[in-house]
Amino acid sequence: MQLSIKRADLARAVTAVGRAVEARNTVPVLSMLRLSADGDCLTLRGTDLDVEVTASAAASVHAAGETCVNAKLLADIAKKAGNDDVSLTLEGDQLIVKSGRSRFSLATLPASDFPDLTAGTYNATFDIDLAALFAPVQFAISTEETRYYLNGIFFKGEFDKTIAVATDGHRLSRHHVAASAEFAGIIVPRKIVGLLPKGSVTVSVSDSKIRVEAGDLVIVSKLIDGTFPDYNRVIPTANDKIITVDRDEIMKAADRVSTISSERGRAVRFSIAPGAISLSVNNPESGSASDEIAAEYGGEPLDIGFNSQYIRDLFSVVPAGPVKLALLDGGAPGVITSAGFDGWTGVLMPMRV
Amino acid sequence: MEDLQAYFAKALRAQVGFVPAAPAAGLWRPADQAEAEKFERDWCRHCIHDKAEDWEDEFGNHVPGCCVILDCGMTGNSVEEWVTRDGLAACLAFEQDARFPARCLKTMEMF
Repeated sequence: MQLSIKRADLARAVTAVGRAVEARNTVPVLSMLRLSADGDCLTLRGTDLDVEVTASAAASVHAAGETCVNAKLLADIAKKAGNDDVSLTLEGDQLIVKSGRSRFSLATLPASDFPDLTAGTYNATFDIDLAALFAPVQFAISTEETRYYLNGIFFKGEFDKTIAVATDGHRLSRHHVAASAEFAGIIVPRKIVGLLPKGSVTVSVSDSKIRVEAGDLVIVSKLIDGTFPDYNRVIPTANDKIITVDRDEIMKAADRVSTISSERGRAVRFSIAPGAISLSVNNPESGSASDEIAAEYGGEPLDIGFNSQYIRDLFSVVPAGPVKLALLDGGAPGVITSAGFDGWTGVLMPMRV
Repeated sequence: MEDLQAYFAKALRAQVGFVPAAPAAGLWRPADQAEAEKFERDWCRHCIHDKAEDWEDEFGNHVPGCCVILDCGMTGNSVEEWVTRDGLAACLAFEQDARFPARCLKTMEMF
């Protein structure tokens, strides 16, 4: 294998695929990138056995070939190289990287040792702005190891819409956009969500994998093998106490009163009355705080407690302006919607305060 | 007794606007291994104190970066930071690790 490539192209491709490689690995080949030089491009591939990222970059290939080289070392060399051109030459079991007067000799492993996740067929292929669909629900992905099936985003294609849902059992975020294709619900792992490029991408799904293609970047990921809870069952439909508040006002007020709350007791009591919401926090160690904001509400007075952190997370998703909070009573979940953000619904469980 | 508590709660709500949460009701100790493991899962896993890097003191001694409170508590020593609050175990020295945000203990569960 022998080729020369622009330093910027190499750095971009190595950075893109390097995000799939875990910092600590017990299997040596998993800390490496697979380099394949063929035709007029260099293809790089990185994996952690769950996600595989492939990126290509234009290169002048003098001799085709493939090998595996340490991802971190190659990324650092690509960043620090003093010349705009970098040449890669495979000599025996060493990859010689040259840039200007610099010369690096890196240990390699055979390309045949590198795992391949790309095999398999897909049930549906469609174009969608996946990053924009997932962005408003990403915050609600659970980090609990026991309920592993909540560690991702539920992604489903229905005949009239494409849905993304994430929940950690305390808050739930659902976002839907226009239909792309019909496919059964899958759970997309957290890691791939952070790797998604912005803009429209080509998505292929099967029962066990998802493939995302955007230009010369291809991401293939295994799915979470589990059953996502019936989220429709926990989204209340009979909440008749509708309160309209300004997003910024409620977020700032909740943040203000939670200043005195303890690290794990961020309970804010919302006393809702016609025309106003009174927020109060009581911390046995540091004191108490209260605040009041204007609200459009004409029903019976109601007291309910919410975690201020969850309030901030949920209200951050919607654009500034009026937000609707639908409640039933102090012990039932609240539903948050915004006229300025069609297709998004947030559900928040109350606290015992 | 419940009537009396309700009466005082109503009086407090009328006077100061809220009923104060229960203060720390004394020190807490794990009764068995299961309780200790649950405490570590609920608190220590989400706290920065048990994840510090090992360091070397001025005498050249290797000091592991584990939580001193957890170390003392799990070896049966008295730990003032572990208290019972609202019927649940709590650690007063808790500082949240942003990488592993703590799960709210008082928010009701959806599922």
